[in-house]
Amino acid sequence: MGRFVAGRLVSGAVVVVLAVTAVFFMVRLSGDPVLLFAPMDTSRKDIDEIRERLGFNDPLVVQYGRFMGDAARGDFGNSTREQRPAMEVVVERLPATVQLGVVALVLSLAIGVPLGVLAATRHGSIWDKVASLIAVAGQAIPGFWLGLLLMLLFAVRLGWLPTSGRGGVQHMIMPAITLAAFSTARYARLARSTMLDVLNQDYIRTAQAKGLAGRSVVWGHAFKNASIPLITMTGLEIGRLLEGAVIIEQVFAWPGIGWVTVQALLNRDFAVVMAAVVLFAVMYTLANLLTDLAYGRVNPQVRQS
Amino acid sequence: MSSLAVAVPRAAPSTQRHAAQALIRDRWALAAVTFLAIVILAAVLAPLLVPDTVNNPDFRARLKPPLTPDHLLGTDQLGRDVFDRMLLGARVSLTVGFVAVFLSAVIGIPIGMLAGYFGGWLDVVLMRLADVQLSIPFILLALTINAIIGLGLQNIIITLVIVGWVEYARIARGEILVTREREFVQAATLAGCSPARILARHLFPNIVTPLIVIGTLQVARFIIAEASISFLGFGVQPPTPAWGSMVSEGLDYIFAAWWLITFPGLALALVALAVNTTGDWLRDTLDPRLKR
Repeated sequence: MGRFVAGRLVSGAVVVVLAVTAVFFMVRLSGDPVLLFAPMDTSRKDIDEIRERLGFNDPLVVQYGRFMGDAARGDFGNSTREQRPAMEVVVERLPATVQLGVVALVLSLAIGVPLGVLAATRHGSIWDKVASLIAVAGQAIPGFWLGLLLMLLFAVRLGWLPTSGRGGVQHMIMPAITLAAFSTARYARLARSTMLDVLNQDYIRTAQAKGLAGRSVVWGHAFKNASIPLITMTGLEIGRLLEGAVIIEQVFAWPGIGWVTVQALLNRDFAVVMAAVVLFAVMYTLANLLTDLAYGRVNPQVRQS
Repeated sequence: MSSLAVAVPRAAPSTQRHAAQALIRDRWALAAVTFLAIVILAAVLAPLLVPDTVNNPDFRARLKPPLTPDHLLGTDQLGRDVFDRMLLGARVSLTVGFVAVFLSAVIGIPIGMLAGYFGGWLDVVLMRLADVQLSIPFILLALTINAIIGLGLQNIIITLVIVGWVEYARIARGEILVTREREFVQAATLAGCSPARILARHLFPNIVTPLIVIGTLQVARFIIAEASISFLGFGVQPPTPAWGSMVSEGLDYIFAAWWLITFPGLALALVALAVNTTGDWLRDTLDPRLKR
């Protein structure tokens, strides 16, 4: 087990390093890094001076080596806008995003999974139709639009909730529901299809023939096996929630890492962008590692390999 | 030699007739295809349907609600007709969706096929690239690339292709890995066919169906991605109307004009829904193997 975790950590680290490398070269090769953030009216002489001071005159490989060396120590340079370490600017926003993401994940698991199971056990019923409708809508409705529709109804029309910002529970409701809606759709869809597969298996028929109660068959026998794909999906889902947060945070001005990253992109503050990319890649890799570990616990077949 | 070539399955005319019949039977798919056809037609004809002055401000007609005479879906903060601008926005959405998917496929599929068939360093590089790309949120990567290479319609397409081709390469590779083990491919190899001929004539026809289905579903994903990127202030720039940037401009007037946010978003959702429904139907018809 220890070796497995170590192996996964190493390959995760490789992915993160490659991601940082890709973004570094994309940003550097795209043009003069000083022109990217210097104000339009900066003089030629000042630009040359900034370039020399920040080491942009060195060969690209040297710059890369220096950047990676600093990055390994957690130093991604200073935010050009806020004049303080870029990683600090991003990391201080992490709690807001984690809070939003966790609430959305819990909501979508709590609603999506039972809805999918219900749709499968009562195949063709109204629950099945509701689950299908949500699944179809979830793939077609843009996240920012759903958020704005909620805002129109609950903030503008009814005045029940604040339009944006972070504060009490009432600030949380709309962003969390918007973010959760798409996860819920995916969980419902997957739970339904895996439950349908499992319910057709022989051992379920055996359990029913033995006269076990319906609920015991559904949750004790069928769901236990259907839960494996759901656990596998949760790793991917954490990635999708982070992705959704980039947009949803913008809609509701929720001050998380998605919000700070988009602001940094609009301000061409690429040190912050790179720090954010690293943080996203690390979170994604860790989420996948945890998924694999959880997968090993519920599926004895993979525990050995 | 000729008897071996017969083993390559081809779409017979009867398959097409079968597809047409299946489409008429499936009400939802028929509705989706009809709706898409209308939107595509409207987008193509938009320059003829919309007055030249569509982007000119008309301050006497600011923020008129829907169903105002001459303004079916109302006007925006500059007095411009929302419906006319949505027609032009359809051109942006559909162009981006279809062109970006087509280019991603044209670049990704050959690379994925070569990686799957030959393996080696190309395969290693491709799989690593796929891992890296998966670890960065799609929208964040697209925004970063877009911020670097610049804004505008052409650059948003390039952005989506840079982000999107790996997906096709990955799927084409996976399909090749399975298909190349089949008997007819081994027969072709033993008959002395060159790798190029095997890839083009024997393997490609057998992996093209799942790729078409995924491509169709990807159109909706790219249309929503472009809208999201334009909504965030990147991508297509004003005064060119794109559905995403129309919603974004409407956000400032959310307390005064609900229609500015509602209609372009609704258009997006309906087009994405129609594309997805068409994709699902294509999958069920062309490739029963993938049926849910």
